[in-house]
Amino acid sequence: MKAEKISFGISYIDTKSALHQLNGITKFVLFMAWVTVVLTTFDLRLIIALVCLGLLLLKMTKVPVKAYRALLIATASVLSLNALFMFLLAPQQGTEFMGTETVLLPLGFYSITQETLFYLVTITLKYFSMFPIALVFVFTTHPTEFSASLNRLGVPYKIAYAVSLTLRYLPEIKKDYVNIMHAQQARGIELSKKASLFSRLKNLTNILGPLIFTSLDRTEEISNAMTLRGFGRNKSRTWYSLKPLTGKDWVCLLTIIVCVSLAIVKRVIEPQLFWYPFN
Amino acid sequence: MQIEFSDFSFQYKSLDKPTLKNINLKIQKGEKIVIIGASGSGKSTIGRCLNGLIPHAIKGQCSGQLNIAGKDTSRFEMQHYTELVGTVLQDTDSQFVGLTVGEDIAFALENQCTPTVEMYPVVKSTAQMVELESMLDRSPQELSGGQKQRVSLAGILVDDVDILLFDEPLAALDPKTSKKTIEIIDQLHRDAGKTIIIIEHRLEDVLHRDVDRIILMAEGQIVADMTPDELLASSLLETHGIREPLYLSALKSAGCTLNRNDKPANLRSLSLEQYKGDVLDWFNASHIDALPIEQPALLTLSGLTYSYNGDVNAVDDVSFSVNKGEFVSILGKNGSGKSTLTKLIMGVVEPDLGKIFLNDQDLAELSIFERSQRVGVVMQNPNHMISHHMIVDEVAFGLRNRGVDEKIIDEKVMHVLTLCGLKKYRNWPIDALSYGQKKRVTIASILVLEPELLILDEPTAGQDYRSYTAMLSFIKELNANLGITVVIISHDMHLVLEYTTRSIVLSDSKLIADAPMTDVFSQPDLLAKANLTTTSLYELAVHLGIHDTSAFMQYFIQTEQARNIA
Repeated sequence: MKAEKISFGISYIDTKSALHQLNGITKFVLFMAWVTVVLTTFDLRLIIALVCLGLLLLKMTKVPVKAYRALLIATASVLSLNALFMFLLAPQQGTEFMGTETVLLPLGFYSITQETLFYLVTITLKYFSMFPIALVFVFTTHPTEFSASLNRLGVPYKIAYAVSLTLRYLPEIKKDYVNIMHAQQARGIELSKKASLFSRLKNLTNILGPLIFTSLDRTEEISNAMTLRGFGRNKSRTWYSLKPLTGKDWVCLLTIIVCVSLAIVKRVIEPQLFWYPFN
Repeated sequence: MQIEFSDFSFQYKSLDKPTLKNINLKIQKGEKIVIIGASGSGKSTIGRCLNGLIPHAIKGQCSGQLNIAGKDTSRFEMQHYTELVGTVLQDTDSQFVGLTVGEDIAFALENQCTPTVEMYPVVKSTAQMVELESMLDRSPQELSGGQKQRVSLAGILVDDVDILLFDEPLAALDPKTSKKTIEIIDQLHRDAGKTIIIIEHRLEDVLHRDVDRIILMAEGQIVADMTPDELLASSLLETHGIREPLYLSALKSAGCTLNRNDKPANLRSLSLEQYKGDVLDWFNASHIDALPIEQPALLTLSGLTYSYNGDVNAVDDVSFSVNKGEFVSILGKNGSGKSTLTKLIMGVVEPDLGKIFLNDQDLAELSIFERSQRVGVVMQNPNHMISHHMIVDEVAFGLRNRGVDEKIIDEKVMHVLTLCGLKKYRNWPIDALSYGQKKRVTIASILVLEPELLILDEPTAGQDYRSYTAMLSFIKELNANLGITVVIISHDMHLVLEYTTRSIVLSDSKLIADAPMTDVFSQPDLLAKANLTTTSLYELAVHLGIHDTSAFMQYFIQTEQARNIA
């Protein structure tokens, strides 16, 4: 396996867009609210609206499409594959939910019904709708600002800091991984498709072993460095990167609360779990 | 008294012998001290006792007393140490916790619960002290080695501590940045009146600026506590495996005897007039061995170009060749394309343009594994290469992958372990080895494959003079006796000077020089482009009015090698 040229990475990219100006707390709340709304609904209209809004927000981050195109495609394919498996396992799930059966292509057990197709499209888009917003969050929120926000929302600072440290050290671990992979390939470890799946998995342990040890060494160094600079001496700490909430943030937060409430109300009063227009 | 160790001993929990034995040491306020010693001499342990990692983060048995700022440390909490001693650790990369320079500098303030608004002015003024004020929003990872060092320094200075402790601050730096770092430390010492303690084994680099005292450690004890002049005039450095400054070695080679009153601590302060006669006699009587006849090329790179992202070339149209049996060095600062070159030769990345030939065979025809049978690469970090528990298995791994018969494997592994001086450890688990020994294991695991070309990436990193000298003399022997061609990638000037005959210099992805090492080392402007500096050997020659600096260096190396063999 030759290493490919990897130009994209999922990390904070400062493009100074309007979304970057928003407070980390606002973006975190937006993300959590988004997930909540998606989880409560099976309404395709709402889901499509969320997908569009998510993609629009993603465009607003001004991050070049090149950086996430591959990821979007990958996610879409995984989700489609997932839909296929759902169909294979339970081909009549849709009919059960909608209560009607409109056969489009009679194939016995695997008959394709309009209800099942509709069901699968809804579910797949439902999962997919969470993806753009997750990217928006990652691209626009500075990891430490995110930790500071978590801490502000009541998460203990040591845990909050662990989150930002993980993000901080991911690139280093990736670098280690590539180095180890190169070293092991040179010694005859085959990781390409030439080797069988089993031996490839076995060979992977030859990379993970050194990677874990290198990371543990690093952890010790970092933890010493942090101790020496007084981390953990007090019950709380302040944050250099914590910005105060601005007017814009409050407007966003208020809108988010209204939207989430509406979504919950909609869920409670609607008798039908699925929105299905063809009844 | 700022710091006072009295009858202080320490034993790590995991070891069965004490690492520090009855240390008695006094350091006054405002002094500038260097602690030197070979690996395992206990010099880093002293540092850890001073900054509180011992006993608070690292466990073990302490006895005796350590007072800092007149207070007994046995009743100290971690934060009491932090208020008194600021530590700059060896590997700056791993100690950045902040995602921007400003945040990293503010880390200590955050932990003291300083309100956010009050932090900004403090961070800004601290950044100004180390000339970083324009970079507060940058990520520390994007900075150059010297800038990173300044960020970690600022992170300590923000706390206004009286004692600054530097744990091998030069280990990862190129020569030019090293000099600059020593100058900054000196400035802090003079302007801010800090007490400075530097733990380092690169003595010549530290002595670029004056220090008050040098503490020499060996086997957990202080064997010398004297002024630099006294120490350098003595023979203690040689006995304890510390590399002595090059100009002193040269003067000694020429038969000069040094006296502490001559101020040998620095080439600038040393009055050279009295030695001029001796050195010139020595040099004029010299005869340079004829260069060996040029062998056919083994490795040839032609027009090699590679870019990671498609915008900037990491290697730009590089062509050179390495002849059979040569010992060549590749020089250049971080990011100049040295490592990419290695990756291209290994085959883990493919060139965008250009070709690599080994004995006229195009390497593109071979797989990574096939290449590795002929070109052995020893990476900088041994932990990246080692994947087995036992030394024997680790060394045998490459052969097993090749499908060699177990019996032959046994023989070959034993042979190479004997060569590398690892025979007695063969059944040890690798975890029990030191960093230098691990490095040796990785070299053994490459040598056992009998490559035609051996590439060593920063072979001296993390090792002291004595252990790397042993390792490189061994590689030199392989080079001389078995005809293995060796390429080292390094910015360790002493290493390059002592072992290699030709140097290839890269700067900003391009090849800027390919010439005999002594020629390269005689061109200050060229060296500066690669963030390297001239050696004190060259400066000595210039001071003495010798024009053929290249021949002077060559003769010195020749004499050194003759002496090493004897």
